[in-house]
Amino acid sequence: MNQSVSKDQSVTKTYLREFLTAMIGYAVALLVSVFLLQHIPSSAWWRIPLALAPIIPIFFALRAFLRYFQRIDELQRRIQLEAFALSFGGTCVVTFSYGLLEYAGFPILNWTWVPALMMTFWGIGSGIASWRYLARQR
Amino acid sequence: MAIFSAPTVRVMKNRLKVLRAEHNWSQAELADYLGVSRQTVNAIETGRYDPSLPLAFKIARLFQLPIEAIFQDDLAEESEVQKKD
Repeated sequence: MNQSVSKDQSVTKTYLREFLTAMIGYAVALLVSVFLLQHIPSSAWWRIPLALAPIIPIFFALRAFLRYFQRIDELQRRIQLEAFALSFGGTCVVTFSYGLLEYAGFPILNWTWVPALMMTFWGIGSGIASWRYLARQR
Repeated sequence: MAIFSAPTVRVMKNRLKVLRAEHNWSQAELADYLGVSRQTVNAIETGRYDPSLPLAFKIARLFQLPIEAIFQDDLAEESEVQKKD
């Protein structure tokens, strides 16, 4: 097995391990946080830190991604950059359009939909950019 | 929209595939020598991606050739034709 392939695989494996661990932590923290928020008095001072607790593992997920971004090569970085561009633009257009629709009576949505939308566009953008650069010759 | 368009307009031509074959290296071996992924070597060879200047220098050093002996843009080709005319 070639070293380059194994290096690439190890970068991806490290990223997936760190990222998935963080996301499992997020899921657990979210469940615990939501459960406790339903069972504690609304006057409790620690409701706010409890509601924000799931953000801690999200920082670990962000750290995992930034470390991955530092380890990948220039083409992979360009692919990610193009994916971010699509994600940024797509999210701006959709959220702004929906914001205008809310004036027309559409239901008010929670802000937590925004990162979900960003992630979706990021995934689509990664797929498109990867196809453009990495697909076999036409 | 450019982002949804077909793969990058081919602006550079290169002899990377030929040089690699001359050295009897696989894409993965070349990628290893250059410190990039095999996919990046493949994208450069197929003209889908133009390497950065540092990577182009690295490739040139590896094959012990000047950069212009490996990479050539369309404008350079045109000027060659004009010189001949």
